[in-house]
Amino acid sequence: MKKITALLLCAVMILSLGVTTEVRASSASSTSEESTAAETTEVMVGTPEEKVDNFARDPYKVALIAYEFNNSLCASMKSAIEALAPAYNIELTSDAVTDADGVMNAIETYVLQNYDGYIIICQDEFTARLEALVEEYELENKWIACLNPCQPNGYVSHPGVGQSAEKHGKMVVDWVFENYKDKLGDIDMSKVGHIICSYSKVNDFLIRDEAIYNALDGYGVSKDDIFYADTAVGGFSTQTAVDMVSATISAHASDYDYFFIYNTCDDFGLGAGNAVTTMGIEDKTMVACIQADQVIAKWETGDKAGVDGAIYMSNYLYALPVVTGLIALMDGRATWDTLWPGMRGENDTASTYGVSGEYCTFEDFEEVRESINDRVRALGVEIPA
Amino acid sequence: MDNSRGSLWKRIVNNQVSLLVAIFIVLLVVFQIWNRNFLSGSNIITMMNSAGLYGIIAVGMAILIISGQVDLSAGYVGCLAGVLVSMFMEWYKMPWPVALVLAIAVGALCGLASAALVIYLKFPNFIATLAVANVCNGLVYVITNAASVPISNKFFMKIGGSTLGPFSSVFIITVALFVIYGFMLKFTKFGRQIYMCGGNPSAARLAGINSVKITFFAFINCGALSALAGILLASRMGVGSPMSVVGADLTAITAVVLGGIAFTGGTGTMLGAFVGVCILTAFSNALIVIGLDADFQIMATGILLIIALIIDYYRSRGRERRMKKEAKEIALRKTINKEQK
Repeated sequence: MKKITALLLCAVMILSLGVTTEVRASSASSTSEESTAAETTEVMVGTPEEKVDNFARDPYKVALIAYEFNNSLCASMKSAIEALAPAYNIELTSDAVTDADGVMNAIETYVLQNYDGYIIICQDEFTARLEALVEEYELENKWIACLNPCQPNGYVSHPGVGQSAEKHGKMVVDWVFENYKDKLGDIDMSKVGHIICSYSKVNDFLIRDEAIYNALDGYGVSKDDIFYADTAVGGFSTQTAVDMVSATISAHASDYDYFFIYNTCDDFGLGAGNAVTTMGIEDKTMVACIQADQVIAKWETGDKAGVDGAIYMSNYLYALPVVTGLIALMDGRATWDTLWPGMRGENDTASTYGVSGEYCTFEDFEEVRESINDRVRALGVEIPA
Repeated sequence: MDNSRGSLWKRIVNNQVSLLVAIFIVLLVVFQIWNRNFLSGSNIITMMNSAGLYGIIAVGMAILIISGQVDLSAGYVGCLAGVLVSMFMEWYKMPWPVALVLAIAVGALCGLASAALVIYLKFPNFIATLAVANVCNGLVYVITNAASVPISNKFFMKIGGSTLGPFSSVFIITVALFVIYGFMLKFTKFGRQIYMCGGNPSAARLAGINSVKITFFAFINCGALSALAGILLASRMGVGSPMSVVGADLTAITAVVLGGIAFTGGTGTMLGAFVGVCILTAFSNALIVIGLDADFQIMATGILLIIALIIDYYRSRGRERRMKKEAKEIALRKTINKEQK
């Protein structure tokens, strides 16, 4: 009797263990599901959506260091970051230097002044030295890249915010192919010449170029029908774009009836628009560009300027993750290798927060701009007039 | 028959301008064979517009180089003027003639500053003008924050953006300037004085020529014309851009040296400078039309400048030898005459 009771008791114990394990497993899985559910609704650290009380700490001293602010994108990025700084309890100092040595000297100067963080607009020529400097002064969790990624060996090695160059390159081609019929009608695509107006001296532009080439390949466009107007010849300017695009169109005018012109920035878009208007072939071309600030400034005067479409990006949507990402690093809520998980490309050892824009035309640019500005305001940012 | 052909060939080779025109025609033919669209109507207008911009700066640069000076700020002065004229019209709502005159005045002021640095503080001209260039460059970015200033005045945009028959308005203005300044150099006393100042400053001083006045004129004139180029470009583009015209000074120098104006000063003609501008513009355009890679295009322009300077060096040496030979012959004749007496 005692033995049977003991066996029964053992069986009950074993059974109860099994049930308990199951319950624990369910709890664990439900916990992990809850955490997954919590994670999916949880805001990522260092993103503009994260709610952080930045005034519960002392102001951070941050230096914004650029390799010249002499183009409209860098200059407007600087303005946007300067406008955001007070709202995020940051004391910002901007510094523009004209060479790689100047960038290194600027960083060392600010380190000696005990700055808390750095926003650096990277250039390929100094990122290798920058990495050495970061290691020497232990700045790994004190800086963030802006506009151009930090990729000394061809892969991103430090967190940064950048335009989705690949995405925009594809977008500009997709937009043209989706909209050309509205303007030109049902044309013979074999009679279309494709011109990419770009600047071959900057890696980000080369990424856009490659994306455009790949997108055109996807649409079955032959490489023989694609021409590259490189403004590196005469300098990064609207005027050089006019000369390059005009000459390229003239060179192939007898071979094609139509031209699709893809411009990797708004300055070139204005140049291409001017070229086609001067040549009187606006009705036989599609001119589209990445970035829209300069184009919109011209559209606001009531002049279409020959540009059919442009990708508009708010400088604030660009600047916000720069500021919030850096604050997350400085606060210690993330490290350089854990910031923005899931935003990492193949072979990259750090993440890039990609900012993308929306297409707008002469007819709807005000609505598009307002809708993007509403998104910015929803993040609690006041946009100055 | 053979003698006349030989003498025609000699005449072409010995005459500087004829040689340049011959080179220009050869270039046009070669590139037209290379790409049948090179001399198409639209490409000719493109070349004329390009020639117009560099040509206006080349006029001012030619006068300056003939007088023995050089200005490396022309591009930045033009850029500043383009931005200022846009700013005056769009931000301050000034009438376009007032904005235009003010912007040209600023360009002239920059030339005045360069002249003062060269004459009174004895700065080398390239250092003085580089300093002025940096000031202009900085000013442009302070004013615009690197953003272009779009122009809404349709009439103003027509000034630089319209055509008269097959010719662009900018090209017509450029040709008019070449004619006016060419006339001044060749047929007026002031023009001869400019040549003397550049060719032999000591002799000019001894002859009672006011070289200070001429240097001031040359720099102010170059500044004003550079400003005009920047304004016309802003008119043509419809924007005052902080990156336009920059670098055009070196292109203008290349063009005038190619056109036969000695870098050491004292020689050269406006006609030669004009042909030099046409050669350079056609050459640059042709490199794009034939599809040469951008890096090779930049190299080719540099090589062209080197060739122009080498030609200039040998021309100067030939001139010096001829002058020495003539001086010896004159001295010999004087000696013979004295002995005969």
